[in-house]
Amino acid sequence: MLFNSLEFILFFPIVTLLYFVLPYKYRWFLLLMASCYFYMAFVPIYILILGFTIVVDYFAAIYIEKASGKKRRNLLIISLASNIFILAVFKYYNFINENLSFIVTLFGHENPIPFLKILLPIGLSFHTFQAMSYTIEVYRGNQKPEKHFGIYSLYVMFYPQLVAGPIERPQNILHQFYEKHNFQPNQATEGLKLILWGMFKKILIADRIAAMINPVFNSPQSYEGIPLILASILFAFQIYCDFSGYSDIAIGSAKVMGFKLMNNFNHPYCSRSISEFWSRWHISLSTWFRDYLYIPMGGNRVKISRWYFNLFFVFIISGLWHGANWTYIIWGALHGLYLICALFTAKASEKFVSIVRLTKAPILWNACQTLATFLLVCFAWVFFRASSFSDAYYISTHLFSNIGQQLRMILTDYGNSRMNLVYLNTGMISFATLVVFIFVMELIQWKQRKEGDTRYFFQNKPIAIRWSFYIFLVISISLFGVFHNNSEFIYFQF
Amino acid sequence: MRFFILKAFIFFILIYAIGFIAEWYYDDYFHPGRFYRQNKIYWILNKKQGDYNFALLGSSRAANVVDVNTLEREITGEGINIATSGSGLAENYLLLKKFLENQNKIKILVINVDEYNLQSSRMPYPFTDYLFLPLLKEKEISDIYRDAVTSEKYFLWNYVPFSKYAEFNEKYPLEFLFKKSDFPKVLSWDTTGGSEILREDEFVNFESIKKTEIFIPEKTDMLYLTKIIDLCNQHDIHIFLYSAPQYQVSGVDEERKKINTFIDSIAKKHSIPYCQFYSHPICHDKNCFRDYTHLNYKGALRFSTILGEKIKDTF
Repeated sequence: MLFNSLEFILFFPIVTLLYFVLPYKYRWFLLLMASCYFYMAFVPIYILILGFTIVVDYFAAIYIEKASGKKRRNLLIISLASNIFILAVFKYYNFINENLSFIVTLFGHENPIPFLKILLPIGLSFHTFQAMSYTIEVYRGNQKPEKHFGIYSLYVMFYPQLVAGPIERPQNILHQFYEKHNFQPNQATEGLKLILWGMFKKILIADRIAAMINPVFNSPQSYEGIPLILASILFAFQIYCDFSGYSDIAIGSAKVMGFKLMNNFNHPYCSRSISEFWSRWHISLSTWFRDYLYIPMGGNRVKISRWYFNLFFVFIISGLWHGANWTYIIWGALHGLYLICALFTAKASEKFVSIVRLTKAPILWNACQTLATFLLVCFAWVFFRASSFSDAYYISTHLFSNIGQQLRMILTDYGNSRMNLVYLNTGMISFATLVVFIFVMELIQWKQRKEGDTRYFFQNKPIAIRWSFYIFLVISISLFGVFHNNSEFIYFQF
Repeated sequence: MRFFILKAFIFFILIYAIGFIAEWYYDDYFHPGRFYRQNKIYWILNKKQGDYNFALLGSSRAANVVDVNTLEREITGEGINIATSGSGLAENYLLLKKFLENQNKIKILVINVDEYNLQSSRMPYPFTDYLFLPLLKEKEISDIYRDAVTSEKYFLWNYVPFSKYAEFNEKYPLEFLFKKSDFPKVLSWDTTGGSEILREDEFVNFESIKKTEIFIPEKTDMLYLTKIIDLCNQHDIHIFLYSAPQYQVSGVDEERKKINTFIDSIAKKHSIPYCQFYSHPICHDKNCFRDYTHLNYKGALRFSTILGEKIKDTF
C-alpha cells in the first residue's frame, strides 16, 4: 500500500481510530494485523520472508542472551547469516550470476547457473537491517531480548516504517509498544502536519520532477549539455522530496498514534562537506553503517591507510545496499572517494582559505562549500539514477557538451529551444510552477533550520496564518499534484 | 480533546467548502458546451439540431476505417461518424444519448460491434472518464460512471468535492481558467464528417502473427449494447450492426467464428441486420491494412464502398 494512495487515506484513520478505541492490551495485535495487511497489499506471499527473518531473529536473540563465549558469537553469526542469505537470494543472486556469466563468457564458456525469475520484496533491505540491528544489540548487551513474539514481530513490521524506514533501533522503538498511548491532540496535530508536508513534497515536487526528467534518464543519448545538467540537479530534489516526504509521512503517522520515530533527514543539501551531508541524509542508515560496520572495522582509530580503506569499504557496501547494480556501487564509491579526498586535502584546503582570506567572509565561504558539496552530490546522483553504467558514463561525459551554442539558442529561443532545453518539454508554466514549489519548500526548510525545529510550521503565528498555509498546501496538492503516475516511492525498491 | 475535534471539524468543513465552490466553478467553466477542447468527444457533444441519414457508432473500427464522405455517396444523404477511437460501448451509449438530446436526428445507426468493444476491459481506456467530469452530476451520466469506473473512484468523485478535478489536474490545468479559447468556426471533423482515416499506408508489425484471443463477452458491454438498441427503438432509428475487416494471413480461426456466431445471435434476437467482414477477401489483402485490426486509407475507402452497398441493399 502506498502512502500516496486512496487506500492509505482510508486505512490510516481507521487503524488510528481503532488503536485508541481498543483496550490497551489488544493494541499490539491491531497494529500487527494492520502492518500485515499493509505489507500484503504489495505482494502477499512475501510476508513469508518477513515471517522467516522474524522467527529466526526472535529465537536467536533469546538464545544469544542465555549463551556465552563462542556459542553466543555463533548464534549471532547464524542470525546475521540468515538475514544476509535472504538478501543475497532475493536481491543479489541475479546480479552476482550476471557478473559471473560475463566472466565465464570471457573465457569462452557458458554459465550453467540459472537466473531466478523473482520480484524483489518491497523494502527488503530496510526490514532486514532493522532485524539485524536487534540481534546485534542483544549480542552487545545493550538490549534485552523481547520475549513477546507479537511485540517483536511488530518491531520488524510496524507499518509506518516497514517498507522504507527509518531503520529503527530496538532501544528506541521496542519499549514504545508497551507504553499506554493516550490520544494527545498536540501530537496528533503535529503528526498530521508532517503527513501533509510529506504529501506536498512527494506528490507535488518529487512526482512532478519525475514526469519531467524520466524521459531524459530513460534515453540520455538523445540529450547533451543543459538538459542533462538540469535533469541531474532536479533529480537531487526529486530523490530528496521523495524519500524525505516518505519519512515525514511515516514519522507523522506514527506520531498521531503516539509513537516517536527517529528523524531521517536534517536539511542535507545545506551541508558544507560530504561528511556533514552523510550526517544529515538518511540518518538511520548512515548511523547503522557507522555503528555496525565502520566502528567494528576500527573506524578512524587505525592507521591512516586503513582508515581510508574503512571509509571506502563502508560506502561501497552502502551503495550495494541500495541496489544490485554497478551504478549503485559506483555511487557509493564516489562518496567514499569524496570523503577520502576531503581528508587528504584538509590541510591544504585550510591553508588556501587563509591565504585568499576567505575566513574573513564566512558567509561567502559557507556558500561556496555548500554549493560545492551540492554539486558533488548531484554528480554522484547521476550514477544512482541512471539505468546502466553506460548511460551514467554518457551523462557524466556530456554534461557540458555544446553548452555555449545551447546558451545562445536559449537566449534567442531559436527553434523552440527554451522548451526543449530548459523546460524539458513540459512547458514554461509547468516548469515555473515546479520552481515556485521548490522555492516554497526551501523557504520553509530555511525557517525550520532558523527556528531549530525540523517540524516548524508557523507554530507561533496566529491561527489564521497557520491555517492559510495548511489550506495552501491542500489546494496546491489538488491543483498541481501528480496523481496519475502510480508512482511508488523510489526507496521502496531497496 | 474537544477543542481538537472542534478544530479538526472546522478545518474539514473549510476544506470541504473550498472544494465544493471550486468544483461548482470548474463544472460550469469546463462544461463541454461552453469550454472548447480539441477533442472529438467535445465536437460530438456540441453538434446540435442536425438531421442525418446515417451515423456511425463504435470504436476505432468505425472512427478510423469508415469514410463518411464515401458512405454518403453510396447511401445518399448526410452522415456523421460519432465513433471514438479506443472507446467501449458505455462511452458510445453516452455519446449517442447526448447526441440525441441535442435534438439531432438519425435515420440509420451503423454500429461497429466486435470482440474489442464486447470485452472493453481489455482495452486501455474504454471510457474517457475525464472528459465527462463536468457532467458527472447528471444522473444518467453518473450511472454510467458507476458501471465504467471502480467503486472507490465513483464514490470519491461524487462525494469528495473537487477530487475528480484534482486527479485529472493535468487535463484541467489552472492556466485554462485564464486563457479561455473560443470554439473555432470549422473543425477538421466538420470536413470529414467525423471520420479519422489513418493515413499511414504501410502495414505496421507485419512480422508477428496475431491469433484471436479467447472470447468472453462482458456483462457491462452487453448491457450498454442493449441500451443502445433500446434508445434507437425509442427514437425510431434503424440499426445496422457490422464487424470491420481484420487482417488474416489465412482462413478464419475458430475463435473468430465463435465471435461471429455470438454477435449474429444478438442481431437475430433484436431483429437487426448484421454484416461481418471477417471472411471478406479484403481481410487477406495486406495492402489495405495499417495493422492487424485497422484498415489504411486505401482499405478504408474500399471498405466504406462495400459497407455502403450493404447498407443500401438492407434498407
